[in-house]
Amino acid sequence: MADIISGRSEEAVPQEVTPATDRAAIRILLADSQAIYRVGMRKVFAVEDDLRVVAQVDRVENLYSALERHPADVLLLESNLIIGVTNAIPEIMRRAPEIKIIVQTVASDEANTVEMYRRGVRGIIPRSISPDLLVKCVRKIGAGETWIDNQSVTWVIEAYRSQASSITNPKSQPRLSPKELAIISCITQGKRNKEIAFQLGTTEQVIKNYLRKIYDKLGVSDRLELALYCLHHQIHKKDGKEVDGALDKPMANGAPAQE
Amino acid sequence: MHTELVPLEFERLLAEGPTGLRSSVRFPLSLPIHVLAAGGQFAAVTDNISAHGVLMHMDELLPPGTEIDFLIEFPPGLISPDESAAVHCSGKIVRSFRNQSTAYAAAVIYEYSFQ
Repeated sequence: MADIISGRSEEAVPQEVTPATDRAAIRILLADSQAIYRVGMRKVFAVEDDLRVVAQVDRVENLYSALERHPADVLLLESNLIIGVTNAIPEIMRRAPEIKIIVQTVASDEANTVEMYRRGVRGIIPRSISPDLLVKCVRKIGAGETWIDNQSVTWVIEAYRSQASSITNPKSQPRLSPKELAIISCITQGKRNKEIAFQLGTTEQVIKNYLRKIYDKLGVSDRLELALYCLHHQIHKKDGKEVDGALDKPMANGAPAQE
Repeated sequence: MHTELVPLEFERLLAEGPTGLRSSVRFPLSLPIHVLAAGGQFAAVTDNISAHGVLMHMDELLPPGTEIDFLIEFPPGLISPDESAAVHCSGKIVRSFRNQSTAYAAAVIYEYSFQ
């Protein structure tokens, strides 16, 4: 059984009973500030046996609660609905990790497109999309595919390339503090955070804070990638002289200082 | 205006999560490694390596599916000021080919540990 949340009201209003045979259908949640679009999309999906609208909402706050009350496979999200809402996409993903998000936009630009795909959006479609293409898009994304137009492909690949080159380009290498170098040195010797903390006279949490800062600074995501980065950029050849002193000095407990 | 839509297999690129775009940077490092596979030991040299995989060349052609272990050794001064370091990796060959007399193998890295 599924409930439909009225677009006019914030309260859930049971309106539909779904046949048991409909269990394999792709469950869709509509999030759109404009009633005309919600009505239109429901009509488009109503004639498709394998697509079922389980809820519709008109604002982000209602969307968050609907995600928990009405499990869905696909979320059709109007981009205007999340303008000015901090971390809307990650919050949606946190509340419904399995849901596949399609964003509808009036106009797309490179930065927003790349950022949305990076954050986990599966497809971006124009508001002017034809009904047939909308149905096809929902089916594809419901099946686990990604829906991306040619322009967005170029943008995403460019972002990927520039990110990769910024990591492998020595000119863009950020400077590491002696303490950060000392921690990297310990890491590459196979020491655990606890052992590093003991050696440097601080707590495990401080080491974790430093490590997170190092990862963010260098754009790496784990210890092996950190070692490869240092090897590629010959970090210790350039800055290694500063490490020995840092290993001798006890560290202050707390978050890494601005160095 | 709507351009041709292409459902792509971007999952590999994008499904690695918010940090996915940066999690598989290949470093063009040429490192000597010792590969243990199929009961034998082989000397190889990396062509590029990331935290998730490696492309290497060697004399032997190891078929896809071969489980491997290998050790990357870092001489002193490269990633640690005075000490050497080593990383033991285990993984599997996913692609191999021969180019003239040199055999190449691409492997995924499942696990690693610093020694």
